[in-house]
Amino acid sequence: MLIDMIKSSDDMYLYEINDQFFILDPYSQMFWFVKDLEDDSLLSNIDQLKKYNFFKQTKELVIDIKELKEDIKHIVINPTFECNLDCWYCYSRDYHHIDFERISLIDIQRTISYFADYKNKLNSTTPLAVSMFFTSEITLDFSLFKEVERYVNQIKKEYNFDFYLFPASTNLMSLSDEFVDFINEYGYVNVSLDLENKEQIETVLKNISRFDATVVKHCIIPLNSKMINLFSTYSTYMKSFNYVSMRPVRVTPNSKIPWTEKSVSDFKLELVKLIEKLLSLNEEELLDFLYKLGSSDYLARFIDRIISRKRYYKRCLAGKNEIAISPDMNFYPCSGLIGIEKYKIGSMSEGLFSNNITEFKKSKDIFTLECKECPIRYYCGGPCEDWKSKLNIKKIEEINHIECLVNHVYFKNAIFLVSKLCANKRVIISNYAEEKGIENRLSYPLNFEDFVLFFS
Amino acid sequence: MSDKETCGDFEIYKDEENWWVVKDTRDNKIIGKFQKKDDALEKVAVFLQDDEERLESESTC
Repeated sequence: MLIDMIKSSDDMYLYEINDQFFILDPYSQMFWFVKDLEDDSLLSNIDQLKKYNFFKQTKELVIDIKELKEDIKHIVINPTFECNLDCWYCYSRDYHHIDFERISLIDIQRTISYFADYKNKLNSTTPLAVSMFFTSEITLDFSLFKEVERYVNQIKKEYNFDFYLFPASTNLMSLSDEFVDFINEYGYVNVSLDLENKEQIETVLKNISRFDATVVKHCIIPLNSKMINLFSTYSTYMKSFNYVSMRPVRVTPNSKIPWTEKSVSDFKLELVKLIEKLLSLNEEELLDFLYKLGSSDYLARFIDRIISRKRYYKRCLAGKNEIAISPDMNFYPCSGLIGIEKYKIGSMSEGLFSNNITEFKKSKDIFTLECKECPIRYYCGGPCEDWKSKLNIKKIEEINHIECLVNHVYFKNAIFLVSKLCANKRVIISNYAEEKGIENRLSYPLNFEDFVLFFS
Repeated sequence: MSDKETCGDFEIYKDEENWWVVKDTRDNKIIGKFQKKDDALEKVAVFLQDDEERLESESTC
């Protein structure tokens, strides 16, 4: 009866994970263990907390969020689609064999100046980050990157904001001395590794040693639904890299390894095994593993958000603060959406299309989409339009339930791990939060009865 | 002074002048003094929920 009541409420959610019950307040993002669901006092305890505005939305906040002004913070210039690999999940794979003319250096310079001037008109003081080669392999055209670096260094003094130029991740299949020297000085390298490609694995493990030991090395592994032995995979690459991230691939239903309801369900078991393994490690081993999860790792993403209780209302910056430029000089919200006409939000010759940008924003608005009733909306931030387009979901108001399934699987396993650590090894949570520079907002009693006692 | 009651980083107690005091133990800062205990609890609840501080607009994909 009580379970049914909680389950039917939009304001609180009941989770059962490995025989452990949790109540989640989606607004404050606080959660508590519940020992006995048949306890008669549970209902009155919930009512007691409601008097103090737990399990309630702060409506004014939503309005404030919508009125926030947008600014361009990141542009991604994609001069070509040229690549020396043909990865099955790549979002620009369909374009690799089309002979696009490369954007000239002059056009790249014009593009950077266009967005810098745009920021100037907004009196923006936030930095302008410029990335390159999200749709191609950077090492194949590295001299162009160096030319752009020279240009950015030349113009940045003319503006009241900082500029940052980021090299894209590389597949490390071919390395020039010039690229190695650059990375050794830059101090950071992102490597994208396809675990389905044995030749790439061998090459990457050989080539990564060409960088200085001081270079921070981050391995990004596109995660597919058939991956098994996650702990072993992480551990293998943590030996050669400082950080490892696994992030779900966004692929079509016809791809080599699609995400389906069945495959998400299978993958869930692998994630459960990973969490069990992590909980069996000693404190030092576990912290070492958690520290080495990279910035784009999906498990770390949810662990961090559960600990910090940060309230995400944007899935990402695409189309809001971030613009991708295609080789034919058109603008898109994200490099994954390049070439799809309905997502075009401008071009160098026509400028930015404000109507198309507004429409795109609607597709990500967690306050109007189905997301508004999702218990983990503030942990997730809303749907990924790139993934939605891969599944050919056309309606703005329709969300991608496969992505939701994946996010819920990650959330449940992450909250189980965090709650177990809070109960038995709180020092791990505080050390991890300190190392990652996130605020630990889980210092309250996680036992629901103890928490309510304070407010009684 | 009454016995302290704690909830995570926050504690409340009654001082010598009969005020209900709310303290953040992370920096030992007194957040407020209230005539009624319920108002003090309400203040702790607001800090625990901490809506504005938790807002995050930046996110990677």
